[in-house]
Amino acid sequence: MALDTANVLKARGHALQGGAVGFVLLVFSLLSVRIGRIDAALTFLPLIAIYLWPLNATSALSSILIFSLGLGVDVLSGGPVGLWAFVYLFLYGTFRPDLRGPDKSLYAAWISFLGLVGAGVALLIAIGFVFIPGRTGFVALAIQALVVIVAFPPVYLIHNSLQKFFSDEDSAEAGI
Amino acid sequence: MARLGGHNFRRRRIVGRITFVFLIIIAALIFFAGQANDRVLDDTKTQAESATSPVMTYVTMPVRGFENFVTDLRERGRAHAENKRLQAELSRLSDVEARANALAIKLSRFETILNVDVSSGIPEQKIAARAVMENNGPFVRSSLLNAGHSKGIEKGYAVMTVDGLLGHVVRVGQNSARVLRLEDLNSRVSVMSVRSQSRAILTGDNSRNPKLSFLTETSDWTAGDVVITSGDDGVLPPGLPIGYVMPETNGELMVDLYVNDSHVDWVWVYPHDPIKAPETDPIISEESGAETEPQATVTQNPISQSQDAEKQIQQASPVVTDRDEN
Repeated sequence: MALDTANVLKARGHALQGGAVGFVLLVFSLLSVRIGRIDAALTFLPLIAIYLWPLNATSALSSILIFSLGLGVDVLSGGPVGLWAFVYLFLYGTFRPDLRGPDKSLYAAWISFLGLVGAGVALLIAIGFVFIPGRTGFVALAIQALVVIVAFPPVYLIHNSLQKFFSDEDSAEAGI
Repeated sequence: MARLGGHNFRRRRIVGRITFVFLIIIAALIFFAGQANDRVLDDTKTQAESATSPVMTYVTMPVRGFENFVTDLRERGRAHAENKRLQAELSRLSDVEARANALAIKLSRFETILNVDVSSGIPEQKIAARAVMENNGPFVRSSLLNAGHSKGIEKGYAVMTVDGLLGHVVRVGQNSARVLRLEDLNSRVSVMSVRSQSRAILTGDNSRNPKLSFLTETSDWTAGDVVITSGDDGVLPPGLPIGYVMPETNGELMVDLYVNDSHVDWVWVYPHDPIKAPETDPIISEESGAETEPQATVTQNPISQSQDAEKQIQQASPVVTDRDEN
């Protein structure tokens, strides 16, 4: 019973960890960096948090945090409300870490992340085409997808390093 | 997770799935509600923006600092050549300034003689603010300012950078304001050519270069024309610089915005009272409080009368049709 409670708490902790990573990336996603004559908006950055969502996180709390994250992006970016909340949840449901299995290397993770970004872009285009006709900026979409693909390796490496640094070896040995 | 086993694990998994499906339905419902009525969560948005704008001021500082550093480096590289060019420009402008001063005096005399006001319409008062957040997403082009109602900013005010018009305010919080940029799909601004005085509507399409639409057969637009606000909509003040016309592509005239050439950091918000139509702005008699018909008190020359008539026609059908955010 005590072990079960510890596991539940740890799973919730994992979900909160995913939420914290998402929140940090959400703050950075609100920035727009200008490179030459190109506006490199970082709107897609929280997709990295969706991809790196901890394997052992509780499903219910994860869904609530991801929903809040999406709603936060919608409200703060001034875009259509509910759009990112829906997209993030859909991508989380499709690319859940337990469905995909652990990433063997950065390269493998990157390729897998490309799939998630591709699915996200396709979903946004479909939603834009059906529900918000004529309002989709395809160039902006392509640039943002490219920016997040380029940003993935450093974020992945930093995330992994921090995870190793803060990993709880005692509880891992105890089988929690 | 499997090692948790047992009834509790199965129950948690079912709860997790139900929560997931429930939230995805909620997200979809909020999205559809927003499509039906774009005022959904407007207050929440305003409050969230007011709360985040001070934080974003600090978060964006390193980014803006880095951008300014790169710009500085680039500018230092060409400082010598630029200095020589500016010296030549200065000596030329000294002569121009003397002529401008003479013309200003002459104009002032004519204004007094004719009893007309030919001011540019650009408000002299302006409110400084910082664009702390830009959203160049696939569906919206907007900026968030770190100043709001407390600094005197109101909905509809024009927002300028040092280069030109950025857009207009569409939502105001206590300490923040949301700016709908000229590139946004919902942006419609009445503009004119400085050269030919031809009118058009600058229509955003979520690309870098908004296009000129509602061009009449007699309108005269060519590549290189400087585009400014015409003020015909009665919403934005006339004379605000916007950009210049690009060479025609696919039969459409696009405008290269002045704001495209620089980082958006500090901006000025121009307070401006929109011109009300006479039907909605009756004269109130001070003595009786009764409404009276407006009477002409100043004899105007035929040119200004025709301009007024044109303005009234255009006011009857406002050109800034959708000032709400998407």
